[in-house]
Amino acid sequence: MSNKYKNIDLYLPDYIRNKLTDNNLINKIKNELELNHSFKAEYDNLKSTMDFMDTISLSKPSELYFNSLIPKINEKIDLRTANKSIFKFFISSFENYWKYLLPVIPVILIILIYKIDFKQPLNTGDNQNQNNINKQESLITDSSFNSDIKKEEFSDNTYKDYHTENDVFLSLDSIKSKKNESRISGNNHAVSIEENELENIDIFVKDEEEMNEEKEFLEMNEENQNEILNNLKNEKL
Amino acid sequence: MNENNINIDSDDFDLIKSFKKGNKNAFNLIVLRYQKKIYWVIRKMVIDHDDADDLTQDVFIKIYNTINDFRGDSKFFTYIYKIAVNFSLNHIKSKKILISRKADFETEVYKLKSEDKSSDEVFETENNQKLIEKAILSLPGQQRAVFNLRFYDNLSYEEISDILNTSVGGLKANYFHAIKKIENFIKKEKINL
Repeated sequence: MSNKYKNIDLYLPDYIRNKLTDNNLINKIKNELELNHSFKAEYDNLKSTMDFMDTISLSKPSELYFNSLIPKINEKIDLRTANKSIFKFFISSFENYWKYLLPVIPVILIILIYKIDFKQPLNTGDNQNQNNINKQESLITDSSFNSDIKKEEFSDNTYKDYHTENDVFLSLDSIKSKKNESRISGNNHAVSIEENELENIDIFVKDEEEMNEEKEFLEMNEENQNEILNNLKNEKL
Repeated sequence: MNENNINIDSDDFDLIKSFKKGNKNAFNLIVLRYQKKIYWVIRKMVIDHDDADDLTQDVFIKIYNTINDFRGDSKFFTYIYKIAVNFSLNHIKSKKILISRKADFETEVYKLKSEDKSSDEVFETENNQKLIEKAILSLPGQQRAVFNLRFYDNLSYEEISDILNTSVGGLKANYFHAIKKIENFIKKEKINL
């Protein structure tokens, strides 16, 4: 369209509103309007649109609106200034403490990380016993452990010293069940080691029984004692 | 000039100078002088009164906070218009979807009102107002700004070029195409009625 009229149509809106100052351009448009009918039609359309836009204005706000604008703006400014001053107060309050806080923060972080990653219980008497039990249980449950280490753990006398007979039987049951589990899983190496350990524990239990039997024997009267001794002799035990 | 001597007739630069010295009344006089112009620049860009109200307040708050950056290289009104147009363009970008939905809603109102012909003149004026609002809303942001600044505010291309940071040649083409779009829009709407 613009090329069609050698770009002079771009000046039509300003020509319509008498805003053109270049006389050459004004004359060119006048000539084109007289000679070119399509250019004249273009001019008429633009003029009617611009006249329509001129006669109709947007709906106006109430008169009170502009009277209340300054107080509203000042209120907003005061509110924002107050918010800014509160923020500045916080920043300035902490400003003096930063130089102390900054070196302390990494130290606190290191301590926290150390506490989380390397937290160990203290090695007191009761804990030590519990540790021994835990160690044994973990050794039994882990079928891929080193047999030498395991034997060493079971030959430890602390086990005998600190545990009641019930504890031993409980351990015995758990060992037996673990043994079955190992058999099911086909780990023969683990089973053979566990059997040795069971023997060790059985011997320990028999000693206690013998002691009880001996005590019973001593509490018997002489006749009964002699009878038992004679029977044993006859049986050549 | 003594800061106590300023009044509504004082020069822009005297008001600015006084405000920079801490006289808040000078700022109030600046608002009083430009509030209508700024409101209408924004209103013709965003159309909605509530949006125009919010943006007008934001523009003056921006001026309040950045007045120290104004060095007087350009006219003060160009500086204010620039802020107002930029705020409006940003608003148009962020509310593009909302505006198109609102235009749909206004079409509904427009149709409903056409059924009520109690007062022909009022009806026609209201309808034409809506039509112009919709026609302006149909323009892209930058083109809308050029059209408003040239058509309604009678700014020169050089002044618009300062405000929008574009070439004068481009502005002339933009202005012409904006009017053509409005013309086509009005034609289409009238055919639909």
